[in-house]
Amino acid sequence: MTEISFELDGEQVTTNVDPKTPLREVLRDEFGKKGVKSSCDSGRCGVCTVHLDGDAVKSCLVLAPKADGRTVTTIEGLAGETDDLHDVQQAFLDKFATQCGYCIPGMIMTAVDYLEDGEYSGERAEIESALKGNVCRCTGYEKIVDAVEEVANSRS
Amino acid sequence: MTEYLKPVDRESARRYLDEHRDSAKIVAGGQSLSLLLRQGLLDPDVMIDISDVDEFSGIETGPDRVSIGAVTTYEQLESHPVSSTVETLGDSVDVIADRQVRTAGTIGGAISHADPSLDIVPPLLCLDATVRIGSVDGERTVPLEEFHDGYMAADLAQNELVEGITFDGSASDWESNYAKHSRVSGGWATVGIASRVRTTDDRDAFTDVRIAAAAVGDTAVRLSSVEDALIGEPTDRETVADAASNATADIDPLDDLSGSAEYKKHLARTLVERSINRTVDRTGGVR
Amino acid sequence: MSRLRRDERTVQRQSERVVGSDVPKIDAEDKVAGDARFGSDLEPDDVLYAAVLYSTRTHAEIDDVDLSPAMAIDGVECALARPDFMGKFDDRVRHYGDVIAAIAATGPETADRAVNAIDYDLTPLDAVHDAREAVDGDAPTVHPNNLDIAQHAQHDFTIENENYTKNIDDYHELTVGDPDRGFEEADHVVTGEYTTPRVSHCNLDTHCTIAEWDDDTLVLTETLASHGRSQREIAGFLEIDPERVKIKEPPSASSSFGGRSLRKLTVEPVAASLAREVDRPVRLQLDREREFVSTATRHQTQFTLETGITADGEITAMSVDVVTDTGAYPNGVGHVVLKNSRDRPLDVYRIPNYEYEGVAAFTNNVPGGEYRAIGSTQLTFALESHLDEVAARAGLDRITFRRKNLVEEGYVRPHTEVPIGSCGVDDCLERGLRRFEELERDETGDPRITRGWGVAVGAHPTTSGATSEDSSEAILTLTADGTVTAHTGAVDQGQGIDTVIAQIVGHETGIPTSRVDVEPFSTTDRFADHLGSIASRSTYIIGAAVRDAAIALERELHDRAASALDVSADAIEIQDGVAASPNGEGIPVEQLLSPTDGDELEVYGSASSTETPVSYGAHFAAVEVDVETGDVDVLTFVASQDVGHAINPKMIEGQLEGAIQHGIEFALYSELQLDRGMPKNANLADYPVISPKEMPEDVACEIVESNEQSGPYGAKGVGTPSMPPVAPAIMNALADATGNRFRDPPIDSETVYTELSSEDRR
Ligand SMILES: Cc1cc2nc3c(=O)[nH]c(=O)nc-3n(C[C@H](O)[C@H](O)[C@H](O)COP(=O)(O)OP(=O)(O)OC[C@H]3O[C@@H](n4cnc5c(N)ncnc54)[C@H](O)[C@@H]3O)c2cc1C
Repeated sequence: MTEISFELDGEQVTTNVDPKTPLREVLRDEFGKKGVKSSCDSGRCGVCTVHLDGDAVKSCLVLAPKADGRTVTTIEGLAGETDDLHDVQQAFLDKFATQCGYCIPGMIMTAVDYLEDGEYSGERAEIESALKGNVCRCTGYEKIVDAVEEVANSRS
Repeated sequence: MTEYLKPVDRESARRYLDEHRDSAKIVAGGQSLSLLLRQGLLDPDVMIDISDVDEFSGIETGPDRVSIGAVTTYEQLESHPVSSTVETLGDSVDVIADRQVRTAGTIGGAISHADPSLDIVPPLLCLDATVRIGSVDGERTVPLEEFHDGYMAADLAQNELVEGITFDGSASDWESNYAKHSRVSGGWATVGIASRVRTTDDRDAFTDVRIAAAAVGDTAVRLSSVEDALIGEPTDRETVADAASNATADIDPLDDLSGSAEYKKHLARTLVERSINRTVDRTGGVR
Repeated sequence: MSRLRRDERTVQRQSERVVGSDVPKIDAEDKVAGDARFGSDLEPDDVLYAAVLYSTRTHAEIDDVDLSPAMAIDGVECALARPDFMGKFDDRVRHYGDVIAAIAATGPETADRAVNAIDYDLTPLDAVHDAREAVDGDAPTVHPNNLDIAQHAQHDFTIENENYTKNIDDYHELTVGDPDRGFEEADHVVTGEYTTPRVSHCNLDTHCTIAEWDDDTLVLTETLASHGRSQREIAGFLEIDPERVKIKEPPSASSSFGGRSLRKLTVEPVAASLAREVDRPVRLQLDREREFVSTATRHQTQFTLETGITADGEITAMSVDVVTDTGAYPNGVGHVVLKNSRDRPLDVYRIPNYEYEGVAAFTNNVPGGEYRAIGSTQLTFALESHLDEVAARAGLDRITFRRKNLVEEGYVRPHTEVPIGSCGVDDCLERGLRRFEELERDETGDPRITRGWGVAVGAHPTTSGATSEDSSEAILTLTADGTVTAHTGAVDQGQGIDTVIAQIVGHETGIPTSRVDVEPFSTTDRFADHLGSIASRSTYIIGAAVRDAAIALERELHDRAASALDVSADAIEIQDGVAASPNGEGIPVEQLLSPTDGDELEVYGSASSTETPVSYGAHFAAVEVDVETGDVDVLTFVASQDVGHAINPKMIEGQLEGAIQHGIEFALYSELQLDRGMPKNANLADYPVISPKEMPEDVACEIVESNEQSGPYGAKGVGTPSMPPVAPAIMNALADATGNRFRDPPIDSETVYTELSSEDRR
């Protein structure tokens, strides 16, 4: 077992893990972050996307010890202390981007990473590229891209 | 239970590996490793995570050498100026997987993984890159072309690790490109072709040509038959098309889910032609 | 009792027309916040984890299963071999991914380890993997002595066709008019053969059930869109009373596209058997490979179509021959493929002489199952491809030819007495075409690129059409905090039915939609809905029941407000949850609860319909083909869809856009590849699902409203009916672009390239 400590959604946490465990399992099973989803088992679908030190990663492809000493943000901690939604969450709501909603936590985490990267054009083609590691089965992606486009435009 | 070691300097990384050798596995970004672990293909006793080793990180550009540390991520490479000056690198990184995988995946991890479909390898082959390999005995270098010596096999002893990759990035008169075909955007290559050329000052003829291909056999390969057919020849479309038809001489693709061997041969010819033409266009030598 | 003056009310005035406006989805906030909890998120404290030993053989007899090495592992609470499962399980496995044995243990890893420890012997049996071969007398028998396990044909039939002697799941035939004469009268007769792929729903949340026995009652916690049918089928399979099966919905339902409409043999009965044995709740979740091979795919189907037309394009006769692969188990829906492919041509076109023969055959392949417009999607691909070929042969314009033969409102189909109700198909074509033309692009001038466009018309009925009457019930409960809870049989798998229900309640009662909660019937409810959210019936029939209840609630509130405010009930108006009289006095509705109500006011509503309204669509696609690589790019897609009445236009767009995604996959990308029943790509690394990059650059939705008399506010189904025209519109565009007809989707780049280059050689 390896001891790991990290900041999780604003809280300092410590646990012991088998180092072969993916971060996703630790977040879901150890810390109850069920907002981090689990689906494809091959790194394709992106539903488990979280931020590691602010960058979007697929938590099924990150070994848990890699979180040690770092900051992990999940969808549940995205909006921080406030009760308000993060503006990207709000845009997803406003633009009807959710259907079943299973992909949405990962999708939003990737979108936020894209929008907070500093350099984006906000063009649809670029947004589509940014989101291609996140599979959605319901929406045809149209309204998801609409939502990200709206935030991109409103921020620039 | 597996032990997880996190060396912070080169010396301890080399030492840990030497101590544990065959029972150890290096962890870089973990993007491929995680899948191997999950599928039960690997079950190491010791995992040595080298991502915090400073000496293995970052990109150094000297007057004539570019050196990329093993744990440099795709994302770091993408945002480094070398991705624009050596366009084949930028083109390649741009089409690898997706944002998240590029954030975590490393160049050293890719090269060590030695999958023949990796997109970053053909550009590096065109750059005549050498792999820097370390162990307690010190450093040795091997040309990348020799480093991959079989299907998913690399010339690494049990106590050796990849520490970085080096190539000559000084020559600003080269132009380059990477062209990829995949079933869906972000998917693995059906075929990937890198090209890098230098032309006469008037851009009329090729003086140097390097072409390499991914997903066409056990390892990524240089396409010397195409290269030889072009050196000294005019840069026009017809010459390029003729030369591109030689692409099949150097490749031996398999039938698999991404396509039949025949189709991949055809794609190799087509992408060689397209990649070289795009490169030529970048020299300003539009025909 | 507080009395507000009317003009003092702080009104964010509730729109008069809540129905018809883009009310934000009522479940969206939980979903964007990451608070939504799905079936697989639930892990009750005392739950045991199941792991299943799955067959890697496609057909075998189970000789011996030694569970003792598994039982010896610490933490293993129970192990069962298939013959010892409850109900109708026997000692055979019939497809890759079928169930051999199962374990329940204290943790998932322990359960997995235990499964690997099981020793077993199988005797391989001859297997059959093609539906056409399966019906031949010499084929191996898939279900020798236990047709019960198959829950096969839902109707009696006799087969005269002597080629169909074996492994028959179901059979349908139909003759209308005089087909022979119809073909004789034709100036052109065109024949074509088409096949459709085994497409997987690829729901992101894999199947997961928690089975628990409460005395003799089985309680299953999972998303099952059709509670009633699932209850009946599970009970039938387990050989218990249907009353003894209850289904509890998780807080958020997982997506389905038909994949979660009904029970799966490999899921609920297995978990139920383990739970019964240990008398504890057991959680069984499928991994991704199992999701591909142990649930169901769209039925692989083979079509032969023949059509006769006159020189000026009138259809004189059509013959449709269908062979569909039921796979190893029919999941209760093999016959639906046949019925839908039988009726659909007649729902869309005026065909005076028609003959149909369809057979559904058992094979040792992964089972077929319900998938978004089951049967109609397959048939429409074949029919609309075929009609383009017919039009081309006769030198007719594709749209004019279709228009000449389309049905219209009031038209009596030759095989049924019932005239067609609302029918917006012509409007769909007209408006779709207009929009499509607006989106037309300039040519590229690149000789390596060729472009083309395609159109396809399609239809699918609202309600399952499985019974002659469909009905539903709804309960609305007003509580002292001013909220209304609607209990219905609907399951919101993302399609938005909960929001529609809230809109209807808000629209009728004047209580804001934000104060309407929507809940599934609880397991103890007296009321029911036998079909649930399948077959695009939710808005149509459940919505109608909700409307009935909402009107009753509104009347009751009016009466009570009238007496409280001492005016006539007619004079009362409820807005924003406040009932007001003309003189401006107002009273919040929650204050209208009376002591005799207890804490809440409950009203009941119901609806039934004997109609099966048909929803029509006309879709347009423009594609671009790279002739050197064979790559196909869908540039533009216009989905013009008749929805009856749009209760929430944005949500309808979402349905259409999702259908476009699934249709593109059907046409160009996705197929579970089986090699003699063995999967080649049962994982999401090899099985392509599309990303936003593969969606068309221009996507447009045209919503046509034909006002369906039998539906609430004129609404009818949209989710499933929007699926069938997508793939054929793309395939027709591909044919237009390349001059080559592709009849066996999905068509990948290599297939296009190979076809185009072989043509060059000719
Ligand atoms: C979903 C997905 C999609 C992908 N798509 C693409 C694609 O389109 N194109 C493409 O090119 N690639 C693709 N990849 C592969 C990706 O490029 C590699 O996974 C990644 O670069 C590997 O880097 P890593 O740092 O994560 O390596 P790790 O996973 O950490 O390591 C990989 C292997 O190399 C060994 N290793 C790592 N570093 C060293 C070292 N320095 N010395 C010795 N041995 C070492 C490890 O022990 C392990 O065996 C994809 C991967 C995923 C998960």
